[in-house]
Amino acid sequence: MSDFMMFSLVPLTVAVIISMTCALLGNFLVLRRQSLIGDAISHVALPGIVVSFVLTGTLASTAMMLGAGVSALVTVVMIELIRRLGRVEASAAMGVVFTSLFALGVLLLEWHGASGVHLDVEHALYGNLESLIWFDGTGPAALVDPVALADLPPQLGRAAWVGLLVVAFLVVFRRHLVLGSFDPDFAASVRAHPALVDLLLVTLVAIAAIAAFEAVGSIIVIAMFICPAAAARLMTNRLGRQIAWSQLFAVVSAVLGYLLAGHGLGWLGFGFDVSVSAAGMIATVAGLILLAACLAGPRRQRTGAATGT
Amino acid sequence: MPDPRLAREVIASPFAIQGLTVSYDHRPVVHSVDFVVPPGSMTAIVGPNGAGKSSLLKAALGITRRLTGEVRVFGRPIEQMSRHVAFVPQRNSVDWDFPARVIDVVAMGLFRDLRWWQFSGRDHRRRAMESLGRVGMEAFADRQIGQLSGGQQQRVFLARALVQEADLTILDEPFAGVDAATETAIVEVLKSLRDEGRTLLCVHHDLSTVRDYFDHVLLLNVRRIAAGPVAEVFVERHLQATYGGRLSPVQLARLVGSAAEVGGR
Repeated sequence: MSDFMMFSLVPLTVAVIISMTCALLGNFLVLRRQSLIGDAISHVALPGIVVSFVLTGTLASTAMMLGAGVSALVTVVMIELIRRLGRVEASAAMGVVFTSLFALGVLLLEWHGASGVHLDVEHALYGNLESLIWFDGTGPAALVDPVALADLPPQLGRAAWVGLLVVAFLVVFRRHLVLGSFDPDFAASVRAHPALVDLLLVTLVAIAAIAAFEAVGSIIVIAMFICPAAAARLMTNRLGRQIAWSQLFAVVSAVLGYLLAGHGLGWLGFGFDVSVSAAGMIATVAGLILLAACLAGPRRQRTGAATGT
Repeated sequence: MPDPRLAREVIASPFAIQGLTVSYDHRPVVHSVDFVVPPGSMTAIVGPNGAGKSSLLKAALGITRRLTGEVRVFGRPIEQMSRHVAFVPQRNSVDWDFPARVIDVVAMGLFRDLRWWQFSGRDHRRRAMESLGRVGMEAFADRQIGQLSGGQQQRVFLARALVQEADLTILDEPFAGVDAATETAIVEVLKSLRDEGRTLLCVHHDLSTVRDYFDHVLLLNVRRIAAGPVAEVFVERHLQATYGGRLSPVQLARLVGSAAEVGGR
């Protein structure tokens, strides 16, 4: 029990919160066919963080987040520029921008030798979920002990704040979001400010991606922006239920993925004491859920096929 | 109070456009258009493909940016008066696979009546159902929108506008790709709105029905060619100017009929 509290409680909670947060936003990205933007933003966090490290020489969270935020902004501007000047589709522009910026980040990282200070490509991809150890979490009593609680890894608090921010945004702007996703022209005509809400959504995606990046790496973020929401869309034709399904899928992915990563391969007969990256396993489970939904989801047929004139 | 220097017809009009120019990539798609929609009229905007009909509407409604121009609703800038205007976009401009039911789409017309902490109540549902009833779609309220035919989709869009109870309803190609029965049904609803004293403005493609459906018309081809009552304006000279002389004499004879050319601008 105390092992679980010390080594697993915080990583598991952080993984669950971040998965749920990203999946919430993912619902609207999927409906707007903008899933790639989450992918793009979580990739470009890397060059931002490297540049901020090169400039400041520290890995302090604020500097890192600022760097990631600036690079997210640069990305959005670059995507828009390439789309307009090159007259290509938004997804093509995104693809070009985030792969090149991510590559630039990798190069910068190797070149500057920053890899010595626990900032390496692996870290960027998988995060360091397993390192979120709660040293004072020695037993159930620690949950009500203010001293022990103060020792909780700061990533937990950050994830929780970002989660609350996203929930608040979705509650307040739920009608704007639905209207802007379904019919932006009508939304503009009733002054629902679809362009502004769009910008807010992308900003929150960036905030969630950056907060998640530090704790869990970009793999989880990318998987969670897309997989639970896409799988949920195949389960139902009602938006509210879709969101509920996406939350369930996110929790199942995080919990099952975390447990499988720690112990599961042993259970599955790969021999004991084999553990793999929790982030990688969580993303894999999310992908498998999506696969299952594609194969067996009740709404996998496009209802629009029946549309005639 | 509206600006007292405005012309009386502008103050009376639910939609008065002045000097509207829209451009994409430095190319004007709508050039310096003035147009006053008479109150209580059923007005068509007619012109060839690429004449800027939709661009004019979208820019006037503030959906896209306008380069120059003013739009007034009862003499006041449309930005303050958008509550009085309902807009029905082209049916094909949205994704009908969106996870929503018919009643959800109609309830979108209640957007301005609900603050973020409010849930839509029984009264809102009643209003949405009434609008659906007016377009003959109440039996479809709980149907998935992806299951609708094109004509049914158009009726749902019209019901969403009805729920807004606006003085002016603007429709972009409401008859595009709908069956004849739906077209008749929509025309009946639009005429009943006009009989209540409301104003309707439609982008319209089918020249052969302009005389049957509308009382006023704006002929547009980037610039304003002519505007006024259908009987005066919908004549050979203006139609040829609008369509660049591409209408055949047979077509024209059928469209204009025996109506004498009075001319009028």
